[in-house]
Amino acid sequence: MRGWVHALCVIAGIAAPISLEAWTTSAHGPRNKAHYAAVEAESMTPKEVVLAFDRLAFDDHKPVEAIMKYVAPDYVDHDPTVKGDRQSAIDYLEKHDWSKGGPQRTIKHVIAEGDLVVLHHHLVRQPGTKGLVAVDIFRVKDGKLAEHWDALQPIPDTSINTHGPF
Amino acid sequence: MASEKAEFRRDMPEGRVFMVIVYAAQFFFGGWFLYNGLNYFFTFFPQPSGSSPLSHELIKALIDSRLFAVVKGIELVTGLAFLANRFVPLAAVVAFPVSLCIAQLNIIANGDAFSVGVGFVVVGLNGLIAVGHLDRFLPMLACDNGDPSSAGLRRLFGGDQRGR
Repeated sequence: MRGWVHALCVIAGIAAPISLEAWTTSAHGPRNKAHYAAVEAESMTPKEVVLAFDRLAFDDHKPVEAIMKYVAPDYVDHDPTVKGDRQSAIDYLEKHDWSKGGPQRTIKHVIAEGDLVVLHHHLVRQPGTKGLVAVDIFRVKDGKLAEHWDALQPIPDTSINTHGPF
Repeated sequence: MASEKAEFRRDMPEGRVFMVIVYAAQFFFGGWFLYNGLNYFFTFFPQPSGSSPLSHELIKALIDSRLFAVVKGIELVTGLAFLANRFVPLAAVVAFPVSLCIAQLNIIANGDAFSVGVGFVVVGLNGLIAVGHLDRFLPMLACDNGDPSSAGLRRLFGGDQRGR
């Protein structure tokens, strides 16, 4: 093979796969950012999904975005204060005043078993109050929150318990 | 053997066409492997993390166990050999396990149409390069292999050109 032909072959050999890669990872290609984001979401463990939802909703104060991203369209909620579908969860969270930071949530324990994740946390809805001891149970399916149960216990001003609620 | 190959290529038009096809496969495959090998170490494009949860886990395990670095090192070295047009039969053999793993990951673990296509293309290209140098591998296809000997070592280090 002549030198200049070899040089052209090397250039073409490098340029062709790079061009293909640029196309496949472009917005119109089969390996675009949305594709990898979807795989990433599907690959998350149930615990990672719940914590990612929690971070986006409560730490970043974007509850609606968190629900749209991490809650399944056919979501079932057993909280007696909402109707029980995804839209009712959005309506419920939108009632809070997120401009002042929204509810404060401090996670104490996270327990994951199979597709279930249990969060034991301290929930303060009104600043200056003692808040609630809360247990949320989530069922995760295909990288999305599919079902939710909760149990809430107000923290009393006085208690005979010397260990505190946490 | 090399002169016989040259004769075949010169005399037969189909031999020349085959040579061009194999060269095209070799340089494309070489560029592909070199680029992917380099990309692991220098990240020109985001490193693909797998196109299904299963391949995502598999790639994560390869990265965590550092086996991915070995794979990418093999891609880099064999890609250079293909592009330099040196040690091509050896590079085709060394690259083949990597090609099979890429095909397995794409066809079985990913399974979507694009990945299945990539899986067959990578094995096809590697196989085509190997077939293009099949004359180098024909001695390996001997059924009656005979006794082991030091003939290969003597030939490699120039002590005995006949090897016997």
